[in-house]
Amino acid sequence: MKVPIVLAALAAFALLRLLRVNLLVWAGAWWLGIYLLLRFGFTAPIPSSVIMIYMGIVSLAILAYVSSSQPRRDEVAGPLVRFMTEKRYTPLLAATVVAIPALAAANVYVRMNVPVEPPLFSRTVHPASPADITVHDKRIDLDAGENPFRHLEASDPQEFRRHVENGRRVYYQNCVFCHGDTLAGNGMFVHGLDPIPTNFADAGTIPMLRETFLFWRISKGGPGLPDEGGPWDTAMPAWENFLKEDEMWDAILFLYDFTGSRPRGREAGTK
Amino acid sequence: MTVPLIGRIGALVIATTAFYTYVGQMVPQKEVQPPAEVVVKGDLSTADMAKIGREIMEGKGLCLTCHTIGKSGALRFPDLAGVDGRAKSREPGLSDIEYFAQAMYEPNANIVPGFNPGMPTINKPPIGLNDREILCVIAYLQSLGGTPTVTLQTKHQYNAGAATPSQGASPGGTQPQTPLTGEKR
Amino acid sequence: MPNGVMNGAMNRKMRVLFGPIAGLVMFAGAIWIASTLVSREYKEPYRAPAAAADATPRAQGLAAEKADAETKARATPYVEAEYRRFPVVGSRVAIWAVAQLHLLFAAFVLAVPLFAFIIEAIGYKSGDPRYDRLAYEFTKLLSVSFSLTATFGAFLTFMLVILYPKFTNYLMSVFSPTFLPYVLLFFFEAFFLYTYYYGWGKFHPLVHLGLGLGLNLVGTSIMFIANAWLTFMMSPRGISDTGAVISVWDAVYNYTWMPINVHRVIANIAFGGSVAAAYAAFKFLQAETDEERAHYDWMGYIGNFVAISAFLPLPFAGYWLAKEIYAFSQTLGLTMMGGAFSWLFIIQAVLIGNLFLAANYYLWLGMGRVEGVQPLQKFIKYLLIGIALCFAVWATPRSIIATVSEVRAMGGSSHPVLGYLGVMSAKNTAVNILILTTFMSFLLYRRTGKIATVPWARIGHALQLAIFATAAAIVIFLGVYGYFVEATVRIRLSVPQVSSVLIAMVSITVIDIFLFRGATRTGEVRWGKIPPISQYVLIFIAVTFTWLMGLMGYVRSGLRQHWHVYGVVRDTSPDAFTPTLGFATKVVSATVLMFFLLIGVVFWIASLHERPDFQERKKAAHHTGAPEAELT
Repeated sequence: MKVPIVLAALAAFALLRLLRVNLLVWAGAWWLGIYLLLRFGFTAPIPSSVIMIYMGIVSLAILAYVSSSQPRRDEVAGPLVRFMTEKRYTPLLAATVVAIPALAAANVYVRMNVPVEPPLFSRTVHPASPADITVHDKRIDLDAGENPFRHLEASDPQEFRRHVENGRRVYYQNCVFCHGDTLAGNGMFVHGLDPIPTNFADAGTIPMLRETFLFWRISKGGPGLPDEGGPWDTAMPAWENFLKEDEMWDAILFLYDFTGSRPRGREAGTK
Repeated sequence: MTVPLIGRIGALVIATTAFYTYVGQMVPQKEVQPPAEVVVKGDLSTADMAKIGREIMEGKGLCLTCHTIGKSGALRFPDLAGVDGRAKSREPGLSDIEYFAQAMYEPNANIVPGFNPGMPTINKPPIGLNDREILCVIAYLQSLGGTPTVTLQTKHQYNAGAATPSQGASPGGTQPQTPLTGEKR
Repeated sequence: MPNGVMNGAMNRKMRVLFGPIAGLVMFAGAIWIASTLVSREYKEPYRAPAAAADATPRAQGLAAEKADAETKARATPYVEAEYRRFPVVGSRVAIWAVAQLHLLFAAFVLAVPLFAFIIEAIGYKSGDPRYDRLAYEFTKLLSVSFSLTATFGAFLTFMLVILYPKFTNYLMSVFSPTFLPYVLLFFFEAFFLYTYYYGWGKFHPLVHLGLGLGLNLVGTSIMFIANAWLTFMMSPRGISDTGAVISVWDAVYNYTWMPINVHRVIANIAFGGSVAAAYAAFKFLQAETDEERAHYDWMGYIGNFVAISAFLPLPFAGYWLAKEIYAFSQTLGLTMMGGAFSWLFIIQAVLIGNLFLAANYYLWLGMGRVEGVQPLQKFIKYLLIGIALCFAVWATPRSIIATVSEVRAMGGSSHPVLGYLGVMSAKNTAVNILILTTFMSFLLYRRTGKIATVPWARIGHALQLAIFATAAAIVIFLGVYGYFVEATVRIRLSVPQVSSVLIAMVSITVIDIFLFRGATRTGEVRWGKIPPISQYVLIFIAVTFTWLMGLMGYVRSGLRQHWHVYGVVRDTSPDAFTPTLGFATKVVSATVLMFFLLIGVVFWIASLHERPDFQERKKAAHHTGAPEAELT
């Protein structure tokens, strides 16, 4: 949303109101005003294909309005006829005649001159996890399961710290290259990756997820994503091939500890 | 220099028609081919069955016209993400395989709460999947939220007798398949 | 300059006169030359049989080849063909175009008697001869259209038998008992149509009206029978899984039969009205006297009035049809609304939006007929805003086309605001409001130049406004409420929406009739005093209606996708795929253009009536020395 443009358009409308301008000017102003509103008046911009549909409707409606009665037709036709017939407007008329194909050409240029974009794939960023997975021949229930060391946080803080420290070691030996020193998803390999690694410091990421979901993503990585998560070029390896189960759980503890966030609890009654 | 009336009316008719044709060219263009026949051979592994099941669900089975996988919000039909976990416990006395089979052979026997009945019987036309294709679909459904265990020899309440002839007709269909675990997929 | 024009016109007249003569001369000449050449052709002298056998190797080879081909042809057993191919465009497009043309003419032939009958009845009741003349004018268009309909019907039947023999055979075997009554009814149709037309003014009005009633009854029955065949293809019933007939009546009375019957009767009236209005517009633009202009302006107004009144309930009939399709098969319903055809309904929204806009616009222009100032003109602005908003909501696609950068900027493939507009709740609301707005336009038009004088005028106006506001509020409230409830409840909300609109329309009309009883007139209605642009609007409406019919005919038939009879008889021909919407719209456009070309011929033939006799024309031309405008 671009507030200055919208405000400017509103001011222009107020000015037109004061000047008591001709209907033709009003018609043009409404057309432009609605275009500006659609283009800049929304926080999430409206795609140009939809704007085109809307502007087509607006054009039809304005045309219908200005020609809907004799006085209106006269009011609109008057200036146009004067413009085209009176001597003093001849240079302007000539300019207009030149400008129309020039505008069309400019439009073509603008439309052609867009950056090349990859085709759009729709993908689910957080696909639903399976109910259970098998890691190192052990079945892990992702729905009902918990981080086996999370309970230590209350019962044995010292032991809990030890696990977190172990997680820190795991993280800085393995994950740091992509996910970054401060876990902000800006490690040194980031520039070669698309999609970029998750920024754990973002409140929209790990605090919204359960620890078991993280465990699934870490252990199975990109290859373990279900079909609807694709086409997925993520470089995330399947860490079960490199890490022990406990190491992965510890790393998860570290992620939450470092960012100071809490994992999402298990909802009762879902599914 | 006036255009004769016929010319003006003709121009109007042609312009209007041309405009609507233009609108028709602006919308996404998609040509729908009749569904390709997927040949289900007798010697498929469970993992391959799940893969074929997915193809059937996208194509011939038309499942994904209505069902979504991994979508939430105002749904018209049940979402299938993680469906295996629910299928195991939805109907007391029915295993997930039996539940899926019932959902396809007798879709109105058990409606998920909050949804309208409306699923067609899958083994009848217009969809008309055969027993083997349905087993493949079950394999894929099991892979959503679980580990597929179904094989082409699996019996359930609807194919207890029917699967035998097709089994005999296929070479290599006699050796039992060991269920594969999920991580091999 | 006038001299030049005259010369030009004379030249054209000469050309028109001499064109056919020159053609005839050339034809005769060609025959003469051909016969001379034949008579002077080199004839081989008679030879003895032994010498006749040419022994060159080439001739021997040719003879051997011919003999070979013949033995091959003899050896091939007779095989029942499943499909045959139509050259160049393919079977599907050929049968599509012929069926569509047949249907368009049939719709016209069924609709015109319906409102000609009603207009004649009004004329009989009120004693106003204008109505009788109008009804006759409509009927004049019928007889040529009827022959064209029958011709296209026969064409369609042959095409079916030639191109789709196996499937046609199946359909014939299922519906065998219905074909003979169908043909019999056609005889009755012809009888009633021609007696109705040629017997105009020759019988007692009631007898004549009886003929009109018979014509309508027979016509409607014909359509009902034909509808049974095609609805069976979409939603088969009364047959076993393998396609064997269990009950012919069940096959006739399938899920979509009644909805299609109702939908088609209503749509036919709307379509027929709009084409008749286009005819009036054409005559208006051609007219040279004020009297003619007044008459054709009025005729166009009535035709358009018929079309729009029939059009208003059409969306509701459409919903019923859609509901029955869902009831028959969810798969079919979802293919229609959610699958390959979902974008077709955006095109439909563009067409219907245009129709509503054009219909309202015509009414607003019509206010210009009334003398004096038009205080109601100032409301147009608000009506227009309402229409544009509803149009925009209806044309909002559910799945938006966007580039990657746009999707990133929106934060996902669904827009946070537009996402709410693309769904059924919003669109239902938009249609209902559109209908209410159009109704408002009509009311405003009706009261232009009138002032209510009844003592309760103020209360009456207030009451009307209150009813209107309440209906609009109910519709919008239910539309918004639909977002907060489950799908099962949401579907049922459209019923109270529709009924509140209908109740509002009926009650406001009733109040209006009493309100303007004995109203003072501030200005007379001057028929014919309307800008010519309004007549082009009428033609635009007719084209749009025709195109809309073509499009919806495509979706009804195309829905079956790769089935001839849905779920029973599979289409295995090369045309079994569903074409792109772009291709479909091109075919629709081609048929629409063909239809207008043919209907132009119909109009021209109908206008031969009023053409002065050849002899008189010649005399008149001689007297004045002026070129006849009629010739062009």
